[in-house]
Amino acid sequence: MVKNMFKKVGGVLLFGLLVSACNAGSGTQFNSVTVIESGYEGDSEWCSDFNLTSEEAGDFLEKTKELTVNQYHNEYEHLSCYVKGTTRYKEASCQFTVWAGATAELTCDDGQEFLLGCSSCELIGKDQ
Amino acid sequence: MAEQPEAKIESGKLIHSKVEQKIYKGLHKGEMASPQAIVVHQTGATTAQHTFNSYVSSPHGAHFLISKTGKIYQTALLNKYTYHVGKLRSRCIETNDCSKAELAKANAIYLKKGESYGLRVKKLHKHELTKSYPDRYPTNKESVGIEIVGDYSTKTGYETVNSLQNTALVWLVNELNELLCFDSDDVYRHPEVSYKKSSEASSAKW
Repeated sequence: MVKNMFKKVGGVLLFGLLVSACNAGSGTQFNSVTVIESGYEGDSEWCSDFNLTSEEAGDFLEKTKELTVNQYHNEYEHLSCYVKGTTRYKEASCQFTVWAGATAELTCDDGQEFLLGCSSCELIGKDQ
Repeated sequence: MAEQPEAKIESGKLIHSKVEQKIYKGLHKGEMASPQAIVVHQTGATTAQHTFNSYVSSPHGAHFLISKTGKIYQTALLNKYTYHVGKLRSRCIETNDCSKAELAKANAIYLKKGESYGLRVKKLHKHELTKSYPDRYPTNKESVGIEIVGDYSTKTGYETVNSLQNTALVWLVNELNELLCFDSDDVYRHPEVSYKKSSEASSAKW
């Protein structure tokens, strides 16, 4: 059986979500989250077991906060396994990519781009 | 007989008419007695000023910055290390050059099921630190960072390094190689060394 992607780490959290000091906002910001594909860049086969359901991706996105490019680049690792999908965010239709390093990118139809991250989230591979 | 380079290093400063000093002391995190390598970055910003502004408060930054016009700024002293590298990749895994024993050790960390990807990366970094350069990639404490101004887009990645910037980079890398006794193999793109977007500095040439 497929295990939840989010797991209790170090005696703390598990799915449902991990902690999060990240997004302290209330209410749903990401609507109609739908995962379309998963994959990895280059030869990043080591994290090729990275996969999220639409519900898990939505839960993760809700835990993220918007980052500047500097924050995104300096404070997070880019781990090149991903899931891609669609969502609505700030009243725009967006394509998202969630990366295994607990980061995400949104490219929206209104031209806006967002870099997201959750410093307290731990993403774990699923058994194949 | 090789011609002596015109540039020189004095008290950590690269002295040459092509280099403007703009040192941000907040970037200095400790002494760097013996730099051994160069790591080439891109800023993710549209102008040099954006990066200068970030250097006022950010703990992260490099020793040099090359603007869109090819102007070279020195932003940290060469005898101080700064935070510009991040967590190290396993060099022998990336280059398919691990001994059997080392591969087993690294894979036990890297491929550990049930452990988060972030934690695996942290542990592998710690494991790499037990080695010496060049058996591993260079750390903050032994590498000079060069930032090239270039924006980042979620659609297209980092923008292409322009010819003025590449000309400046060639000059700077050559001078540093000469003055600090690096080999040409000691110059790396940031994503080669650490977990960063593959497009960063991918069009940089030296």
